[in-house]
Amino acid sequence: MKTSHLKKGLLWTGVTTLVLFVVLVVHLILVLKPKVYDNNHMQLVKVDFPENIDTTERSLMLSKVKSMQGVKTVNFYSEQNALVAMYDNTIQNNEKVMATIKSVVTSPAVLFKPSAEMLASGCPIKNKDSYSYKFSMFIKNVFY
Amino acid sequence: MFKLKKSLWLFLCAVCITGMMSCGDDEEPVTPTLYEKLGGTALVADPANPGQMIETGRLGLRSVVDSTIFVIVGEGKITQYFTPLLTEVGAGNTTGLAALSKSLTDFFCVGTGAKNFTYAGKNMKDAHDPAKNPRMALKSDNGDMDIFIQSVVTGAQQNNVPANLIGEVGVILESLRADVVQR
Repeated sequence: MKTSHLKKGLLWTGVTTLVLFVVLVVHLILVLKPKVYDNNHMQLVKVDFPENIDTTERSLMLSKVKSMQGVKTVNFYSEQNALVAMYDNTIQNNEKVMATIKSVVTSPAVLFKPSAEMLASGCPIKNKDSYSYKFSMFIKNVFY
Repeated sequence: MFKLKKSLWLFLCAVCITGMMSCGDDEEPVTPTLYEKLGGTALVADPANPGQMIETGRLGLRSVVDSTIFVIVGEGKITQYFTPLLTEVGAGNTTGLAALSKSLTDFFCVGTGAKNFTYAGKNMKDAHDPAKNPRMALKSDNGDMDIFIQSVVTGAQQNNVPANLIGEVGVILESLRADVVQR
């Protein structure tokens, strides 16, 4: 009698666990579906110049960055002494933009990178070493 | 010859006269929506997605949105709300800029009267409440709102949007101030 109760209990526990696992997997499939946006791969980059750069270098820098493949918009903000560019991240990356800038400008150029504190105050960052993140990515790779 | 009663002839004449008089009535003019004034549903090639088409109105609004974000990041006056956009993601991955651009573009499309789009984001109050939206770094005040609206105006001017239409967009943004400003 006791054995049959135990077996029933284990059976129900197993079934409930399985059902909850299936619900979790379905939920992950639904929420991890890749989203498609109009400008899927548009990336922003900001480069600060601690010292003033002369007008000629500035014009040449803007011209060279604008001519890079995949760069959509570039502008220099005098008040901030900063260059901001928008590019397609399937074609360019921040390093290449910096390399182009440094090939033209002699003054120091600093790539703006948000600090961990800045990022923490905005969108929550997932811990990529956690089991939950790894499991989520496994489900995503299987179904998408 | 087919003969009609006099009364029936009079009736038919009255109907014809009434019909002719109503033909000249002016119909109520349909005022185009702001979305239609911005280009409407006419399809054009999408410069961001070769081979795809996009409504002219949406393309215009998306351009204004992207320019606005660009101005905000460049001028640096309210970047504290947009800092995560400058985090570089891996090559080919979808960026935060893309997600924000779509969300704002959908919002403006619906707000200006577009029929083929829906805004699936949070309402403006929740979207600007850090307790309900983790992407919002902090609550905004009237000064920040003024800077945002000015950035939209600058973005619209960069995209050659006529001044009167910029004014209409400004009216829509002002109507949101009570929900957006929470500090």
